[in-house]
Amino acid sequence: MSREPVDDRLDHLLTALGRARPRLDDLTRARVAAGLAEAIGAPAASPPRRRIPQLRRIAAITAAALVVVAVGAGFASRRGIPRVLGEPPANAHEVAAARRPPIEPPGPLTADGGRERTGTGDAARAENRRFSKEELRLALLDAVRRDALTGPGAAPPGADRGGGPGARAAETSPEAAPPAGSSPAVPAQAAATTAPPLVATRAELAPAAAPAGAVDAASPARVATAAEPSPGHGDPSIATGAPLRPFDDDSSRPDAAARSRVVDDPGVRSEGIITELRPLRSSESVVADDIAAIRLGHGSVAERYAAAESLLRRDPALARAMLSSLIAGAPQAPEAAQALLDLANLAVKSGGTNDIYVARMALDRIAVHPFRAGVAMPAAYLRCAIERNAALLRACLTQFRARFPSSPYDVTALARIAFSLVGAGDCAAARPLIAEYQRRYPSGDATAMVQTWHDRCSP
Amino acid sequence: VKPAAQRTPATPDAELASSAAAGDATAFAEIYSRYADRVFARLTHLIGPTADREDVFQQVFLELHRALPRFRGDASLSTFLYRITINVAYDHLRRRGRRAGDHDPTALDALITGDPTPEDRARRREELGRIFSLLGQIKPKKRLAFVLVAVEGLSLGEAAELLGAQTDAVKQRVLHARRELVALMSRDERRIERRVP
Repeated sequence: MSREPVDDRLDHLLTALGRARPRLDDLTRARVAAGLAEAIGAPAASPPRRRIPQLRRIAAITAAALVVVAVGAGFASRRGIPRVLGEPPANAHEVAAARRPPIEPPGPLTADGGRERTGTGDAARAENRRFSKEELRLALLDAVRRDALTGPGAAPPGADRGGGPGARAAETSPEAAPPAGSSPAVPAQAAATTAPPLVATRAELAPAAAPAGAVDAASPARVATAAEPSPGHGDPSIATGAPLRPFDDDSSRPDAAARSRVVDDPGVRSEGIITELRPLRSSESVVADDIAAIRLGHGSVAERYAAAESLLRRDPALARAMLSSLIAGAPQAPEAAQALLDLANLAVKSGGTNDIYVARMALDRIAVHPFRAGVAMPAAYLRCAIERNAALLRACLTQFRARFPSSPYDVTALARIAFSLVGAGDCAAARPLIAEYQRRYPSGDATAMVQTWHDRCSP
Repeated sequence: VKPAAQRTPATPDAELASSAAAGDATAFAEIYSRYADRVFARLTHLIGPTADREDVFQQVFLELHRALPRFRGDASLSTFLYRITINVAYDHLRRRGRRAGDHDPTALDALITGDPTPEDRARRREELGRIFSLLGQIKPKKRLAFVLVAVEGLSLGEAAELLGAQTDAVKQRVLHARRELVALMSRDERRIERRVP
């Protein structure tokens, strides 16, 4: 039996590898973007043993620089050499004033009566870092969403893709809006043909559910458009190597006809895009829903929140990015208040030092939100729970109990106050609380522990 | 730095890079959006469809974020990014060590384009698994040089620029890699022949 040489077979394998087109799917793209935002926003992790030498080095350099400046200034003042460092202070009082650090304006009052630190403190630095992280997260999410809608590289440079990135940017951040006149220059009809028909996306992801869904008033026309070949259809450069895109080559797909039938379906309602997803969530549908969640950047706020909520446990990073996007896009919506609370909870769960500041920031925003009433109680409890100072924690929890006496968190709040007092050795104050706990919650989770405290505080 | 609002899809890479280096998150996101697919494809060719490919892919952009302040614009951003991709891939391969490895059939399947018949698909999947298995057994430096030249079709000079090596060195690596791959194929086939009566 004659076989081709090994060299030729190797070439054959290499050709096969060269023909392979690795595709980056939407979910991976979004997951990596979320992970990237996390990693970039996180403070640089340096081993503690290296921090001290670094600080020492900085201190040594600063001290050396001060010495050089002082010597130079002294030398200049004695010799009458023209001073390049500015006029020296006239008297001792001015010397002291010059050495004194500038007084920073006080920060705004916090809920617990203290003042927030502003200026150059660690907290402010951490917050600033976190803000940039949030910005990056939003920007990456926006990019991912745009790519999920249109596919990267689908539009030529300079072309407005999928409804226009400017439009999306304007939706998420006002400062990122396109220059005036750029959007109106796009003819309405052209915009309609390039805009991603969301109904088709959902129908594509869940073809079985499509006929039962509801579409918005404009969607029938959009569905009909989706069934037509897209502008990119037939272009091999777009068809190969591009990630999953919703609308290329629609006409050739078996469900295209079914989708176009949706237009004629008299049962189609006209208040909003399809709201019914498949009831069964197989592993495939989980992935499909994730992609749908990303693509639904233009869906209603409620849908976007539902999509983010479904990701809270499975993929907190992605959920966080989606919640941030939702808040940026619709800051006054009722869902935004809930999203802020979810963000705060996620931040607390991640447990990092800086995450506490993120949680506080979210809770501060809840406090001034028009729909804060719905989340006031859990937000108030969370604000107490992240308090690290024992006295402030007790004060906060006592205030919480007075404000929400029938809250489900009351049992935990009571136990925490009592525990804090026992830990501080204030049995006199702890005793009535322990008695209250035993009276009101005889079968509470902390009953056994409360009994221990009771024994410890018994005279 | 041009404000985000004034950027268009046609904004030059260098401009994006300088904006991103200055801390503009949207510029960095635009770079990610622009290059994610190409980096992912190249990375897959270099390290194979391994389970940790996603982590390596993320690492590439993380390194890019760190390196952007050092980007002077001497080379194009794509070259700069591909160089980072290759460095990250090299670190990954060196850390992982040389091994044939079993590749997930689903991951291999995802590399196949077109609409082949089931038999054809199975054959192509087997071919891809075999070539990745062979490449996994040669040294990372040789592997990277070989993939860039023999699979991606770069010239020796282009590959040398990306690898940060001399052209002659890259040429030697490619030749040695090919020789080793042929030897490995022959050895594998001899083993199979011995097993089959």
